[in-house]
Amino acid sequence: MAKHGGLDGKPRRRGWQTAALLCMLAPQLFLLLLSLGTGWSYPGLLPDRLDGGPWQLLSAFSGLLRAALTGAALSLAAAVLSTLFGLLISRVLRSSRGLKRRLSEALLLLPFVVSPIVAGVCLFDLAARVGLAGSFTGVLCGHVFFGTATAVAVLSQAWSDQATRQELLVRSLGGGTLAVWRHAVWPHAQGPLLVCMLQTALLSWMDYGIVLQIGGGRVQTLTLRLFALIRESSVNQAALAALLLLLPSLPAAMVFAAKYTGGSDRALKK
Amino acid sequence: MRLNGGWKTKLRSGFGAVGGERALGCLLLLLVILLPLLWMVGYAFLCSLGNFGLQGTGWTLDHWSLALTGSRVWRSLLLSSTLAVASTFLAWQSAVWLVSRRGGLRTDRWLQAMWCLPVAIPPVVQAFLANLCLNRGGLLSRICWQLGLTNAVTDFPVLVQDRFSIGLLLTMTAASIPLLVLFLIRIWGVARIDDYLLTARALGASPDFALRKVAVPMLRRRSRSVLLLVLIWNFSAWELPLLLGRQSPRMFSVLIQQSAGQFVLDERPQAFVCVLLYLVLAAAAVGGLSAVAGNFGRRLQESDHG
Repeated sequence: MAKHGGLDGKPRRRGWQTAALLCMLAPQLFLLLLSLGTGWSYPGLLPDRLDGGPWQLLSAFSGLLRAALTGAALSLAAAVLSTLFGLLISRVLRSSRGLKRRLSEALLLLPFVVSPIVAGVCLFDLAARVGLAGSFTGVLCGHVFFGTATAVAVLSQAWSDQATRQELLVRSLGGGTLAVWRHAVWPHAQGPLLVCMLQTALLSWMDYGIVLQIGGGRVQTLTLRLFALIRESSVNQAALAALLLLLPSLPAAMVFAAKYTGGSDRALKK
Repeated sequence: MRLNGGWKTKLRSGFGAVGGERALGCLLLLLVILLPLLWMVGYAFLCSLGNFGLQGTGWTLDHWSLALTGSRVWRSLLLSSTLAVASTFLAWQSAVWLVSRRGGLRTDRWLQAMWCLPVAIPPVVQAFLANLCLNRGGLLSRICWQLGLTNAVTDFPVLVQDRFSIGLLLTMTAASIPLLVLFLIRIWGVARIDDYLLTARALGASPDFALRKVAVPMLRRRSRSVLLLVLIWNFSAWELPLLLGRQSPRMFSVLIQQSAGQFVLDERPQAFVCVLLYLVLAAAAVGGLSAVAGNFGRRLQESDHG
């Protein structure tokens, strides 16, 4: 394999790795530092007093913790529903052909592209008419709309020709829908399902537009709390909220890394 | 290995969802995706014509003419597209530089894994972090003071809510780089660019020439769909400009949200004119995406057969 740039000696490589790790974790470390103290007046780089103020408030079941739990419940529910819907829809897409399929694919791409805030502005009235505005279920519906489109995009990759052959085999041996799901769908969808659930959960966890528009402030998630704290300019509390928002990014990054990195090795094996 | 085309067509009804499963899937497609989309388009259309929603007054084209003749909408469209194009271009250049000039990134899984970390940072946190760093009283300004480069807060340039949206541009660029880097690394492996570079070198090209004339064009061709996606995401960015952008002109998403629901209710129908303009742009992007993806798929098939 041709080598370019800095990939020579080992020490240099280790230096690069450490520098990169520090760079990538800098936001988390900075937020942790800010959240450990009280105040942050101008020329100082550290908080005025390092007394762990925001953390003490967190332990006494405050709004922040409740918002985190609401957000977690929301993203868990959104992930499960979107993945299930996405799985079913992607199987329908697979058995249709021609214009119908291309049209459905384009329609499914649209939520992927449209900004949640624009969708929220339009969908608020619909939610209000069916009595879901300002409720947990309403926000969940909004997240499932975006999540399902993402899930279809992720899960469409699960259907290889091998999966098709396996399914044909099960069917020609007399298997019904249940047998097809057990012996052909499940073994192939397993891996992508995990990535899909993670991605849709993150989508819901990070969302601010839908929660603001459809939830109308009555469904408090961390993103909403963070923006409120920024507006109040309580830097330390906001730093803690941001840190909590960043927590799931660590395991998510690990799964994505296991799934998507090492492209060059795989290509060589082909 | 792929199935024989004729066989596949003959057994078309034999795989994928059939019967009740298919009906369930179609129903879900209708309820979860199609219904909200149709509602969005129909609602925005009727509201922009003044005949629906909270304060419907009867059919009128006034809102369209007001929105399209005033400078507010056009200025914000111009700002959004300029920032989207500029940030996507800068992010692309940086990602190409990182992937092609830093060979360690392509071979070291540990380094690649670390690039997954910033991908999962929510836009709200990106905005907050950028505000903390670039603000006049923020981290960068403090570091400059500690190093003796500035003597007061006012010596530091205005980078947040500034006239030229520099802070916003920097943040949007930085936020787009990790995704592009990960994608380019993947393409580099899948397209076997290393082999092509080796061939070019064997034919006498210098390393730099080979990178510029072989690797970069290959990367560009294969990443058109992702670039289009990043472009439209940057165009519709909302959380970042909400905190870092100026109030006039506003980014397009901010304009839509604020005129749809804040302060002046008279502007509400005009917001839906903007929503329709935005949806047309998004649909064009989707069309572009499927065209690019279609071509890409066909090319892959051809290369498989060849």
